[in-house]
Amino acid sequence: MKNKLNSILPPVVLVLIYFLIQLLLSKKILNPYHIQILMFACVNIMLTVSLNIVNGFTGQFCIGHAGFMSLGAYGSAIITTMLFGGMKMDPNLRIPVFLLSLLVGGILAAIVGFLIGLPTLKIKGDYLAIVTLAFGEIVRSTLRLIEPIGAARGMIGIPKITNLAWMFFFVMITLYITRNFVYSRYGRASIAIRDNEIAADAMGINTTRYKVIAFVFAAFIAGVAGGLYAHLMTFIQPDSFSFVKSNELLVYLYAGGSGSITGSVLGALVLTIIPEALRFLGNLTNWRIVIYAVILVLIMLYKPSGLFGGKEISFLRINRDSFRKPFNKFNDPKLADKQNS
Amino acid sequence: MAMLEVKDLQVSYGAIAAVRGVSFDLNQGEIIALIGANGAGKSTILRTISGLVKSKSGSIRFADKELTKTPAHKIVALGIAHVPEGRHVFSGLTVLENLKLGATLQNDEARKEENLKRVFSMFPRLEERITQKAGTLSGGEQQMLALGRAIMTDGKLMLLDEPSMGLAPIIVEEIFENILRINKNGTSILLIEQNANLALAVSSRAYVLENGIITIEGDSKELLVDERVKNAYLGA
Repeated sequence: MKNKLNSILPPVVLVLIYFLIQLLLSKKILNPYHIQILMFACVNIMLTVSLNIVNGFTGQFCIGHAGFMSLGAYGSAIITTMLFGGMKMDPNLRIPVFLLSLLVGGILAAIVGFLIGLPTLKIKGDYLAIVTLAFGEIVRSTLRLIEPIGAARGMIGIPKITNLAWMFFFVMITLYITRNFVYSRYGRASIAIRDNEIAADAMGINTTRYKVIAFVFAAFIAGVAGGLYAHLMTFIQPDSFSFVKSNELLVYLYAGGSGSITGSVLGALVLTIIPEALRFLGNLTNWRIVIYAVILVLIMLYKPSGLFGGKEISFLRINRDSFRKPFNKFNDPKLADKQNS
Repeated sequence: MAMLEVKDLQVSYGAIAAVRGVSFDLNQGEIIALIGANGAGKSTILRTISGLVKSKSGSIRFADKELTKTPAHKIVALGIAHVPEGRHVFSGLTVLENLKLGATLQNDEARKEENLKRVFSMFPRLEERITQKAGTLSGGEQQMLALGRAIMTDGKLMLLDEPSMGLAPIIVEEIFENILRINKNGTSILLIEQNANLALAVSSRAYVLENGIITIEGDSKELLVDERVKNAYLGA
């Protein structure tokens, strides 16, 4: 009973929040600018949660995550804008084409994630970080050179299809599948690799394989988030997906608490909103970035493992602790890994 | 015929030769000890057997399969369980999850349950702490968990790297009693120990390793009274 409530409650709460926002919007307490920021926060939540799978749960260090986002953004924008006419698209086609484009963007990012991941995930620690950094920059510089998609000028005329409802929907899906991933056999193997790669190897876990799975999964979500971003901004350019963007995501992740889905949501939400919220400061507006940085330092000082380091709220947690039951569930033959074949 | 046969094994870390032509064998059901000082190459030999380190030359045969070119996760599937030095539990996961990970390659449900029962009968303390994060266990409990996890892999050969390291004497005694129990259940054991007295007491045969080569080998009982071994390792 409690489990059922737990699975129904979050979507209900999210829908209620959505209608609350619509109500506030109609009463002019919130304006479209606020909504815009909230949607950016949602994109950042998706990106941070996906980065968390690689950095927080699998213990790798990816600092080129914006590269996957840009692949998704360009991939989906090419579908809607160049293949289906963008703004002039048949209204009946808008939604199906939009969803198709997001899927294509996600798959494009995932394929590249796989190609990058296969050779590089044998590299460890700092060296892997440098390779992912280089990857992000390669993607950006390559996009700058491709003339048909606008090269360095960027791509304009992308139809504005992403709205708050879509954003909420995709955040919800992201959280749901990420939670299930983390608490599955795959997630457990990932955490084992994070905690101790040598021991994981010695337990018969194919570490490279699980690292690539985590990488591809994260790249897919980042790609979809990129597609949503493109159809929110209506304009994308390669330089929006530079190392600065990857860096922001790392800040959200570690301030929120790596290894915690709740933390990623909170980190991305709070830290996207704070710089905007500080605009009310009037004459002190120029100081808002300084204040933002000070807040960051304070978080890390008082909560060195991030706001939610290692902890989860109940919706984002599946009980690992009940006695024998999970052991039998773990043996589900459908999930059984055919590693020893 | 020997279950494990190591021949002329050489392992280098870069330019430094850690193991320089080591040969030994282990029969089904035996406990073999490798003793020697720090840096003699004991851990390197274990790591090479389980595929965590690649050898430079030589061969390792286990149940008629060559291991030197086999990746680590496949070696586990062949039936070799490695308990690395310094315990190496998955600190972010619970005790039960750590044990489950030991059974990653086990598809036989009944066997898995059976092994879990065995682990809990050997180490009742693990059963009490089943939902606790492994990182919060004491050193001795972590060593028990590492052993329990190795039992869950259901290996025919267990490689134990310094199971007594950093533990109180009473815990060491408990651990070693259980190592003997594991052996009685049919698992062969290759044991590395700095505590040579202990290693020679539980093993049937032993090899003394110095600077990457075997200098003395023989029955453990004889080595216990061997003058060279006594002077160098037993502190008598």
